[in-house]
Amino acid sequence: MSNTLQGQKRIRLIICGFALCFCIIAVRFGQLSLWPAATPGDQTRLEVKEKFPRPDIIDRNGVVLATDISIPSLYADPRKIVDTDEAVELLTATMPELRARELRERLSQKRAFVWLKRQITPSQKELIHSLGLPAVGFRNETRRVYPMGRLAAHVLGYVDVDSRGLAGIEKYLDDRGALYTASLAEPGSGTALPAVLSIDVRVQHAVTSELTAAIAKYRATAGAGIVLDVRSGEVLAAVSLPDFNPNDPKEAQDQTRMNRFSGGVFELGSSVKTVTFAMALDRGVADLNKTYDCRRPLPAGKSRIDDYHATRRILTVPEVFTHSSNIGTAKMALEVGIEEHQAFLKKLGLFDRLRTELPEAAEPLHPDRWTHISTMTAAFGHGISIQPLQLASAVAAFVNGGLLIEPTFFKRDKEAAAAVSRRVISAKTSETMRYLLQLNVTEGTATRANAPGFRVGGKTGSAEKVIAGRYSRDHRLTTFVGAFPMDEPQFVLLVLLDEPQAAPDTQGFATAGWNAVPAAGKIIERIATILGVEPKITPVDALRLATQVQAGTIGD
Amino acid sequence: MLRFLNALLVLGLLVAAYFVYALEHDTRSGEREIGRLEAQIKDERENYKLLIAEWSMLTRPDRIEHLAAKHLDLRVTSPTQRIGVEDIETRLPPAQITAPGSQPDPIGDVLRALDQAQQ
Repeated sequence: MSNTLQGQKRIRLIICGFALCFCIIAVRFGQLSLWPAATPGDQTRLEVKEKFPRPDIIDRNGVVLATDISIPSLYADPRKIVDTDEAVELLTATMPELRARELRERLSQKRAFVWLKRQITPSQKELIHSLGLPAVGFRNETRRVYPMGRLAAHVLGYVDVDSRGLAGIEKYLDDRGALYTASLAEPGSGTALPAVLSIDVRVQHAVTSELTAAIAKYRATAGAGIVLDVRSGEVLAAVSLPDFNPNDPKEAQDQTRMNRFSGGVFELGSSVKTVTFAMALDRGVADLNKTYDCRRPLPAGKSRIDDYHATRRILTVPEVFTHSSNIGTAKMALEVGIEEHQAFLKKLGLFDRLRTELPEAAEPLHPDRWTHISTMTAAFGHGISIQPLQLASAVAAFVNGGLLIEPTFFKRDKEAAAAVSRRVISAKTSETMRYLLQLNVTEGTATRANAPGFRVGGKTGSAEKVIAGRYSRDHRLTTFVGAFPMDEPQFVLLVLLDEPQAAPDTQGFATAGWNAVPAAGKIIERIATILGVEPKITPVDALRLATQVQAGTIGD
Repeated sequence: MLRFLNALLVLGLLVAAYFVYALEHDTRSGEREIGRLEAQIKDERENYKLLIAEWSMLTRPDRIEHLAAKHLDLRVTSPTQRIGVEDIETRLPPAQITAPGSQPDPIGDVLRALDQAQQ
């Protein structure tokens, strides 16, 4: 009896012991589930080192320029193949581009995974899927596509097969702009907001197509075009021809397809006179009534500086500008002084590499030892090589009231632009520059840029290229840099043509006034309306338009 | 007493097990549903991106330009064809104000008159 009692007591004790244990466990469970993060340090943190998704790239109006799409790729597991011959036959029948021998070799390997074909079309996927082969499967891969093709290729750049940016904005998104890319990513969702460029595809296309036409007409080897908003520094269009297709960037390696608007430096010739004039007028060294003796060539070391459109008379300052006199401009620069001249060029950033978002930024070339001759030649754009974008940005400063604004390829508002702008000339000098630029289009070297109604102003440049160590008379780099509408400039346009030849309607001439300038005029005619510039028709314009209508060049 | 307790515990175990398994089953099917929907959302996103890319490709300015030149009888606008709002009045042909009913389509007449003025 006592034994059983003892046994019962023992069992009860055991039951109590177990019950206690279970109670403790239950209480602890309850505690953990009700107050999970009692001490924040204890909480296990899930650390995911995530690769940021590559953002889409869109233009300023939201048109997609680059995006990732997912494309199926075909793979096989050779171990699972029942009948290799049958599989080869079926696959080659649906996809003729697969070669039977190669395919058989791949399928005979003793591996668990072989790629059969990367990046197939959805319809091919459907067909292969319906074959019902057990050993093949699909895996989705992301691929970067550029729906606009060649348009804005130099701005966008391109990526390699692993979606790493190799040039242009694509490279910026991976390198210097990595923080920006990270800021676009939406945490957790694996998606990202698009990167918004300053480019307007309509303007970009108009510049591209007019430039293509000009290159064909004047048989130039290359060309470039830039449209810049003078108040925000945004690049609305940046074209460099010949270009490449970022969807298939093999040809991008070719040096002749380089980025010419910022990735190369050139002696831009007389268009740089705008810089000299802005400097002399701002320093008060010259004013509109001053005259320069341009009767005799100016000795410079062993050679002499002469004028292309030689007048051999005494010219006023506006005449020096409209006749594009090298002699007058060189004299003007000398009067400013070589130190001041260097200081002004430095202030405009023409001695330093202009850094925009694009990795393609060439370093300007200038003489190591700056002499009187350097000042004389640099005054009319020789002996100093700069990026075309640098000149466009300087001219934007000359017409916008005197503020140099760092150009950008991303959309930017006025406040952000004000933060990166600094005064380089006074508002009064800017006004005088506007007058000179417009005068040059109404009666100077750039009359053919005059798109009726849009009040164009600008300066031409026909630089002689250095061929085998000598300046060549037959190889020219012609430029036009200008702004419109001149009563309140909003946009700067730069057009550059490399080695243009005389065309049937240029009377044997191949200087800027005969090729870069009319091309610029056509570009402005097309883009001014897109950019919302209101035309103002003067009686002279009306007359010109009437003759154009009669000639059938434009419609009514 | 002990036997009753045991029976109760076994019953309790069975009931608890039933609820736990029912809960797990629900959770599993819920998870499957979530997975399915997420895959569907991903698919739709991909499709959407594909369509956006295609739209962008189809509206390429050079393609539109080419198509317009081929199919439309339009020419480049001349700056003279653009006027400000304040000048619209000066370009309208004189309107003929007539009694309602006698003139069924006054706006149409204005447009026709404009058309004739153009030619």
